[in-house]
Amino acid sequence: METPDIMEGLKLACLEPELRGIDPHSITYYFRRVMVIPSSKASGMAVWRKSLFATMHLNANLPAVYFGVPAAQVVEVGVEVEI
Amino acid sequence: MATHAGLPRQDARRWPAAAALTALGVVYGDIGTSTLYGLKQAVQASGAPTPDGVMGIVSLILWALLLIVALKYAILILRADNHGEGGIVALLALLEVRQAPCGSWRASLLIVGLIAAALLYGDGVITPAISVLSAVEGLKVDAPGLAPMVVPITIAILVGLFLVQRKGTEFVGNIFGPVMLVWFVAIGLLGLRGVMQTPGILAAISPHYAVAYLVHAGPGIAFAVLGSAFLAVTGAEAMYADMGHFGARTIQLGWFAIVLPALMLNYFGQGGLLLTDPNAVENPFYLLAPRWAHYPMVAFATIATVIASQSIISGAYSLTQQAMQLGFLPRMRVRHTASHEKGQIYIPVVNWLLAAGTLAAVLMFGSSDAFGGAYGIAVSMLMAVTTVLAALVALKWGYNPLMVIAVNGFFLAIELIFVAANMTKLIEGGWFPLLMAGVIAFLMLTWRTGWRLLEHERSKLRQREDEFIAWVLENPPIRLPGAAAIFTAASTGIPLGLTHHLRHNRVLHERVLLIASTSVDAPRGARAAYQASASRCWHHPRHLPFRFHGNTGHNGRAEARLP
Repeated sequence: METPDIMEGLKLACLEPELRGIDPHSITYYFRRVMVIPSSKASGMAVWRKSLFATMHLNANLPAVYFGVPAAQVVEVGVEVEI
Repeated sequence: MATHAGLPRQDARRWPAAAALTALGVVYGDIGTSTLYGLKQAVQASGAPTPDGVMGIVSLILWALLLIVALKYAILILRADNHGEGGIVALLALLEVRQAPCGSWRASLLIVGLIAAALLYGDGVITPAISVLSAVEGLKVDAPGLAPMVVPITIAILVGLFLVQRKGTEFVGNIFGPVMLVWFVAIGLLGLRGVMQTPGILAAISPHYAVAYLVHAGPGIAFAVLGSAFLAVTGAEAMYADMGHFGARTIQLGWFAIVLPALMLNYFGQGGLLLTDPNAVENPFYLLAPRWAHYPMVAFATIATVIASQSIISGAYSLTQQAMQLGFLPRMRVRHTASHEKGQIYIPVVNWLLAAGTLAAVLMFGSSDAFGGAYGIAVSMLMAVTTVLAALVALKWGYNPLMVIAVNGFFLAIELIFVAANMTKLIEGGWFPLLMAGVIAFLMLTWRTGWRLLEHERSKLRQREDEFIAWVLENPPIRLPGAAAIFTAASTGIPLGLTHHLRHNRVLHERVLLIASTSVDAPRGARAAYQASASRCWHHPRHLPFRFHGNTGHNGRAEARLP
């Protein structure tokens, strides 16, 4: 198993006829930035563990960084999700 | 484990000897440096060295090496390969755990894998600490006055080791193999020297010495000795974990041609020395060497233990990468320290946490003797888990159930005895790796469950594709020229980010790419097959945004313009 290298894959995919004209180096990438709101809404885990998860989630690497997308091409969209 | 400096596997087939040499450095560093403390700790656990005790303990260590490492790992477990890959994650993949329906017994095996991974981290903290510490302790043999320097020197070496990780360690990776080859030759020759002085020790090859000793020693001492003797086989798991890089044959070649003979000779030699001079129990490994060679041996052993530690640290990065892909851990920054694909990886967070744990352990325990109590418990549990999972794989492959139960049951019984023996060291230090493993397993479980809950809530919020299209048609947004790519965690539905963006900005690019990244258990060899099957699953009905299924590799192309 390897690190997802989406940019590499996208570059290859853009050689295909359906995606012609798309240059992965100039398009805009939208990423969600999910804020996890711990609550008792969903069952399956105690609220304090949900808070722990929310903290871990907040500190997890941004997906853009993980997928190797250049920060200058990224637009982040904030989303709140209560669990 | 995924990324060690080494030969690509094709080369391994063409140049088995060269590949075996590289494997020596990566795979056998840990078990090869166990000679520094394995026998010493076991004899010390037995009280004062007596001839019967020494014969029994040497016999016990030899048979542990022959049964657990040679028979179980080198011959049997290496068969359980997932298209060439090995390790706990490969076993889980062979059992198709990730495809199992939620709540089934096979799905619960994922938790077993998660606990095994947590134990590996516990082990990863202890191994560098005890190895380097026991090598540096050689300074005390000739100059007891240097004793206060042992811990500071060890810490300095370990700090240096963790500091160079971010620069990548490939440039030294190539010398690991030759250095370890010289190491095995050296410890073999030292052993030979001891054997020639006391040839009587060779009788310890008969297992009855081990059995007779354990029976007569009484349960308390027998368990303590077993727990310490187990240290001699720690590191055997690497043979299976690294199989993907070197191939089973290479690993077997290295083991049977070089490592096993060298280890056996060395343990014989240490035993022989203890028969003639019971006082040598202070440090039989170093005292086996002639006096002039003590300091050079300390330096050499330190280098060998640094190599062993490097393999453990690289292993921890690979394990983390696998755990992230299995959804056990949050995404962390993975850096490739070399430009080419097969290069080494570096994960800063893991490096610093590992460094903190290792240094804390050195400061807390302070000597390899004290460490003996902490080491072994995680490894023995891991070996038992491997045996159970391998039995399930063998059953799945249609081996005769009676044979599987007999063979794996035999190994499980031995390993459970070692687990029990190590449990007696719980208070002395065994709690440390178990506590670490417990905390890590808890964090992993929290992450996994939390992610599932989050995904469930998100899927409820996500718009269906047809609803989205209808909505866009009713309220046509301003279209921007060009393309936008939106990453999504799910392979169906419209990502929340897109809905949100459209609601707030009221604009949409002419072409929108939805990129779903999924990871699969497919090892390198099976990737082509996976891609072929994936290409059949794509459907892109008219009027939908095209969905690009990014696997870890490259595949995926499908596009449709929005209306």
